Amino acid sequence: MGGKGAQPQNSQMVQFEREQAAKAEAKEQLRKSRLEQGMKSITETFQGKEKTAPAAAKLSGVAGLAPGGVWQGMSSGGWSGSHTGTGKAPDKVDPGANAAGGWSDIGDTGWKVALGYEGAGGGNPGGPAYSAYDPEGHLRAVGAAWEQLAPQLEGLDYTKMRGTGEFENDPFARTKDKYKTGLTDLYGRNLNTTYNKALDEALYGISRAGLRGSTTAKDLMKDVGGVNYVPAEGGGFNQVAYGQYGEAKNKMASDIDKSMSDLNTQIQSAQDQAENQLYMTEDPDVAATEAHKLAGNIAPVPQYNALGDLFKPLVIGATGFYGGYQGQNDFNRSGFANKNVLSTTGSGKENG
Amino acid sequence: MCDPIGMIGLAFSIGSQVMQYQAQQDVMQKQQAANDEWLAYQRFKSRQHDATQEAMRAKADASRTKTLGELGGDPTRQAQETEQARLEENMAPTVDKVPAGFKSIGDQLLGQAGGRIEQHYADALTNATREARQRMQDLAVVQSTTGSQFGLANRANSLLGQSQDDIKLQNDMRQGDLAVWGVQKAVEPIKYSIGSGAGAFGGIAQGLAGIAGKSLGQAAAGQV
Repeated sequence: MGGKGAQPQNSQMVQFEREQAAKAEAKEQLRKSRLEQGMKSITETFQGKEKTAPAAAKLSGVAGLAPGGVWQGMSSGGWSGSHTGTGKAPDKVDPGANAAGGWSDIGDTGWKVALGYEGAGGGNPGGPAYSAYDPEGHLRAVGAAWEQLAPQLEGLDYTKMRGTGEFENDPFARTKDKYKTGLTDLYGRNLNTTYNKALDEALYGISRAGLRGSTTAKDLMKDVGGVNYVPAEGGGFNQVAYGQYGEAKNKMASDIDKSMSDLNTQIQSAQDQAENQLYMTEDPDVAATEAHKLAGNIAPVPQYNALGDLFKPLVIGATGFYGGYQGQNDFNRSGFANKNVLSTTGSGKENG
Repeated sequence: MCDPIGMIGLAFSIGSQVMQYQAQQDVMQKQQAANDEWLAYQRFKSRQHDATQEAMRAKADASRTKTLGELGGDPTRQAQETEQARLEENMAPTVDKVPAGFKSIGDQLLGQAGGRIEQHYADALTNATREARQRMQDLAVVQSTTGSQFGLANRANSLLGQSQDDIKLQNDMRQGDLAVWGVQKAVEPIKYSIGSGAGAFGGIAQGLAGIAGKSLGQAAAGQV
């Protein structure tokens, strides 16, 4: 007598809604995995592989063991099992041992659950029971059902490989080294040229002033500066640049460090852009391609502007020397000072 | 005397009531089962959603906590000292030994004057070197505390940037999960009602019941 009893009024609608919900869930799972894969790819492109280290984690953190949760992540596999294991669950099994109902993984923890040992540990006398083993094969808990097993596992630890936040094989290491070497060579060569020129001019001035062998001449050489060695705390010697040469060298080192910092910022900025593109596309392949493009577009630009400032102290110092000795000797009367041989930046009075 | 037609109507009426009752019971049972199934589905999805949200929140929080720890006093001090040492080494590199035959630039270019002048120069050079070294150390302290390559400012930005990336990723996935949960919550239970056949039969029975009622009423009136 069809049609006389209870009839569903909206079954098609409900069916459609459930299909939509299932599709949305599956789609979101795919999106998540694309995002995670994409982020991994971007990180490796810009920072290299993250180092990992073993760390203890609670089994309670595994989704399937969460209080009130459902058992998820229990997939067959691992130690493989055909139907041979019976009787009480042994205290120790070897990886690869057989259990009556096979083995199931607890997430990716390395822990496994055997189904099928009868009356395992007295958990379910006469019937099949669940036995939990740690990755070394030690029996850790038994229960007549998974729901009985879960609470026993919640307080236990397992080892998990975690990212340390440090990276190896920096993909930009060569670029950075090359950049730093280029800057050091460029700045260093110019510094040495100017330093040597300042020494020559100082010597020339000393000779012309007839000050060779005087305390004043030695003081001037000390002020122009050079390199000296002092014992280092941990043994050996520190090579210390002193005087105006030292000041210029320190400034050069600071400028190079600043340029390296700017390069790091550029790389970080490109990584941020790649990540934003990933969020927009949610496609890891596109993100990886874009990341490589962006990584290739990072153009380190040396800061040539800093060079002018770098040599100022030497020039001012040397011209200051001449200014200081104006009117003191023949050098002044001969009109040599007015030639202002070193001054490319001023009259020499700035420091006088 | 009872009217036969009335009696037949009465029988139909009772029969129809029974069938109506059975149909209603059937609807109630099936509706209850559908509601239970729907409730189980919603509970399952709710728990799943809660666990997922919690796992993602925990990941984001772990990243935040890790960064917070690294920005704390001791790790910051250690990072500053490491960076200071790097800068000092950069400015005043360590060598095993002083190069053989090393002479100061003044002695190289001007020769050794000897006597008081040379002693004065040696003292001046020692002082200048000591001051230069002190300036380098001060500079290394200042730069490592502020804006050198791995100085505290850049370190903090880098650490916060990394945790922000982690938190952003987890938040994005939480949003996605919330959207899915919205679709799942919108799933309705199946609704049952009495079938159309039962309705038609009920109508006939009701008609017959009406006739039965009328006949019985007339019979009762004649007797009075």
